[in-house]
Amino acid sequence: MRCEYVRDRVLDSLLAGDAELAPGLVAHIGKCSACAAEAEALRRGVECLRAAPALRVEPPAGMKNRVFAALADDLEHAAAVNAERTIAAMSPARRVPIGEIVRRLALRPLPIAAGAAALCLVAIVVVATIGHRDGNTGDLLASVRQSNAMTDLEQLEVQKWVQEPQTRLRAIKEAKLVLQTIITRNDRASLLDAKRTIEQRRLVEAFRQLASEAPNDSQRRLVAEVLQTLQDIVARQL
Amino acid sequence: MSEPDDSLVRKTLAGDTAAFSALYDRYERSLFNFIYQYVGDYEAAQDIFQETMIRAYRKLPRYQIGTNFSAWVHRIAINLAKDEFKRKRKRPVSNIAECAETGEEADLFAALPEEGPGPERLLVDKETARRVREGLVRLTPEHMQVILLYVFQGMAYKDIAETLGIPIGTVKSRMHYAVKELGKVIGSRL
Repeated sequence: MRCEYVRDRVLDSLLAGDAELAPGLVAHIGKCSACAAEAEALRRGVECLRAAPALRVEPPAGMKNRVFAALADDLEHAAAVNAERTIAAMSPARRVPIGEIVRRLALRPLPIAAGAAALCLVAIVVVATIGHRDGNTGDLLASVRQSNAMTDLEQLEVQKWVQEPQTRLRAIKEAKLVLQTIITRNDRASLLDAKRTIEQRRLVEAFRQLASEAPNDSQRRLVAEVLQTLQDIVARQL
Repeated sequence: MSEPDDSLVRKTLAGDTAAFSALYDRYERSLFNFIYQYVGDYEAAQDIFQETMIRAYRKLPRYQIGTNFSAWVHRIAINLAKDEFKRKRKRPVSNIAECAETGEEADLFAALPEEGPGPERLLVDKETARRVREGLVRLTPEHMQVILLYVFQGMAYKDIAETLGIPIGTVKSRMHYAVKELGKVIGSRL
């Protein structure tokens, strides 16, 4: 046997934990002092390797928190981007009759009465908006006044909002961010929590701002997408 | 059965924070140990490990699904640890007895557990740790990498080759050399 072959086989055998070396290896080592010395060094080296895992240490407590804190912005951005893709991938919102929305909400009462009223309000206003392709504020207000689903107070609120100059893009972005947060959580409890906590009010306000005459087609589509998504969320909760 | 790395990577790329958290949990202990054993400094290991995980997350879109995530993340760690390794490791000496005479003994042991997390964190007695550490410290970076990946990460030669981007034959020869050198330093039985 060649010495190089013997030394390789000796290491393989030691690493494998064989109880004894093969007879051929033993025979060669008995005759070759160089291989005998190397075999002994390899044996001690493998013993060292076997003891090495005991040198393991524990990472410091809080290491994970440090890493995730450093990545906080990245993680948040990734979640937001994913939610945007989710929204963009949705099929274009279909026009839902006002009556159908009210029927669904009436038959399946939401946990929070105020939320139900707000959704109804928003749905009515947005659908009315979509129906008014010329973006006529007066027609929109007329629709709102004619709605039996809103109280006088709610009607006044909508009128005020519709008439006030808005930074609509900012409002739409805020509403999208709210939706993204809800979508990325992707669980029933969080959706319900979102309804019950401050996000409910934010959501309602955001959609109130959205439910305006859309100045162009792209914004109108965006509002329609948001509304459809909201309806999907409501349906999932019920 | 635990979820495969690639599945967690896909979910992470889709914005799922929980998936990245699972990946992190899977690799925290082993990867931290690899880095610590490599650079021999507990404080430095924390910084390098943190940076490794941050870079792993940010570079995740470049990771090729279907390859070897473990090898990929270890490559990141090695590249980051290389500079620290050069800075912290002292010049290897050829003979321990010579160290004692020349006063270099302190340098040789500078990276030993005394500078690390403290004996209470180690799972072996201090003398054994010191002896094993003696051997590891003497290795060159290339041999240290092979040994650590084999011992602490439990990688097979094939995975080590993939991690380091070298042929399997080179892994075997480096392993052989490193084990022999460890054996020479350790001397008597542990």
